[in-house]
Amino acid sequence: MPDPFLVEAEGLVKVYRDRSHVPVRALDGISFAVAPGEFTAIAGPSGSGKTTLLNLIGSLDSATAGTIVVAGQDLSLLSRRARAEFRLRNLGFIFQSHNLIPVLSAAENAEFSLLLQGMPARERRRRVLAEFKDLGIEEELTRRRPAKLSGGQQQRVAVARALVSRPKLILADEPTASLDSKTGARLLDKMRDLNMRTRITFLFSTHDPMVIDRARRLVTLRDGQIASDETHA
Amino acid sequence: MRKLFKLAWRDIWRNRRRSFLTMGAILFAVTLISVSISANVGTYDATEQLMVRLSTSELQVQHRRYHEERTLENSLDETLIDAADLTSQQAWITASARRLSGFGLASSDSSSAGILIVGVEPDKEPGVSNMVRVRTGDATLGQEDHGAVLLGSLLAKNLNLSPGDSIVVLTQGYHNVMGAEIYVVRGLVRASMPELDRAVMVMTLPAAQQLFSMPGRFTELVLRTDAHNKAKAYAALLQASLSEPDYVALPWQTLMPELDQWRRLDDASNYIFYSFLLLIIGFEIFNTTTMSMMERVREFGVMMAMGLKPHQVGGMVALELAMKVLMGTVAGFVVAVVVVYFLGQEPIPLTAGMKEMYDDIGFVTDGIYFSSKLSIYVFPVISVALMALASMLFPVIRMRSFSPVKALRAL
Repeated sequence: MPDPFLVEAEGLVKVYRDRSHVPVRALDGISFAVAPGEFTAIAGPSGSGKTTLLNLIGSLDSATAGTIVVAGQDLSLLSRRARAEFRLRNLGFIFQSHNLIPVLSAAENAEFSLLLQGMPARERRRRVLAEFKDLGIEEELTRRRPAKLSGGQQQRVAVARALVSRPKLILADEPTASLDSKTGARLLDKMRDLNMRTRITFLFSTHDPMVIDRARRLVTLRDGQIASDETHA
Repeated sequence: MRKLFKLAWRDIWRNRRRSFLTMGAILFAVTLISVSISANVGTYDATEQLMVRLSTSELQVQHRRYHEERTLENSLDETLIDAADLTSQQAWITASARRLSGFGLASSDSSSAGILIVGVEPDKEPGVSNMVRVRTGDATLGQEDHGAVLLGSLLAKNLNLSPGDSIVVLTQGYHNVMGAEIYVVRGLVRASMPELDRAVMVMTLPAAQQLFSMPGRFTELVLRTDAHNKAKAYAALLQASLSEPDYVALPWQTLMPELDQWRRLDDASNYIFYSFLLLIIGFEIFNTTTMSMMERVREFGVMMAMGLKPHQVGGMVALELAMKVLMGTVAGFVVAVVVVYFLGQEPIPLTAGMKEMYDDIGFVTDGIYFSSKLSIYVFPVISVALMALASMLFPVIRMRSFSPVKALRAL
């Protein structure tokens, strides 16, 4: 019987040492699960552990204690190299400040993960153009480098980059933070639409009300613990 | 791999000024060291040939004790060694001449001086050395000119003698037999080596044999070969063909050890200079490389988040740096070849002051020569490339060990 959850975290603890080597408990025994196809926002004040939780789910960081299983894989059992391979095959990331590679064109940025997966050039190009069309990125922008794109265009390319490999889970860390409200709302609607159509799971870290309003589930963190977990209709 | 190559290539041109600075430093180091080595090798090669030609020639056969103890008792017997035989057996011997060297006291009307008497075969000596090269306008020694001598120009000046004057010579000859003779100064020798010019008196070999009471004997069989840089190998070959166990074949490196020592000493000091230069270049490359890596840490973090493996990040950075090193080194090599080619057209003449300075230390050269041997580029190209790669190693290793989350947090 297939696992009903895409993400299962049990007793997650993450302790950092700050600059004065004082231990800081960023996550304090969090347990939670995400089912496939969810459109979930993790909210909370700054320092509540949102980004840390996203980093652990994204296998970018390791937990101090507890287990985390994503797409049936216990992340604590993976080497650095295996984690990279895991991210490549299962995850997509959208960052706060687009983080496109400046020396690559918009299309080259979007196809980067497909390239790492070893997909043939023709197929890569076909999928990128389809994704761009879906996200409303004009064809003349495909050859432009990020510096020649507006903030909204850059973030749409970043979304296309995360979506194009059809990952099981997309982790978006404050995706609207660097966008004006109109552009942000449009992009969020697009992502929700994609979620409905493709059943790709979206997990946001945010304190933007626009994201929170559109999320079907809202997990609120406070001081490294889950303060509330609500599902909207 | 192709994509990483493309990324690495584009990253080079992301900050053109910094990349040009790195490649320029490599170019500068390769060019400077190549030109410096070229001048060194070229000048030493020319000087060696010149000095060898001026005195010892490339090879000599001597009595085995003569080089250490220059007495007439350690001389060669004409009946035990035949120059014509050796020349016919060894095709690489291009000329040969016998010499008899000894010491004596020379007197003119006004003063006396200790001298080096060299008996030569006037018809054969020019084939092996320039020892009997007389000043323009002066007469030289004839084959049968047994009553005449040539004097070093400085010796003649010290003794206040001119061509046509008489000179009295006293010697202690073979088996301590005293010799005394009066000769006519035929001409003056312009020996480029000052110590030779200050002391040498050249006469015919038979005249010297008579003066030193040693007919049928001589001290050196001087040989010219077809390649001065093969002298050591030729000496070994010749040694094998000498039947008399007391006779040895010595290359110019043994006969003039100071020349080889100068070269080694100079090479050592030059390599210390090159090491400092490499170190400075290394730091410059380390600096620009580290800066270029550090400002892209977040970007590397993004790539790693997307699935780029740590070794691929390191490989991409290494590829970028290797391309910079390759371009800088190749450009440096090309520039060095062009510069050396132009400088090698004509030696750079020494100023009078510099020539005098070189003369004072017994170093004979008339200019700075540039060698265009391919081997002069080996050290600069390899050492600069290795130094550049070594200075890039730290950033590459650091990149490989970056955690994506730390990289993403970087500003």
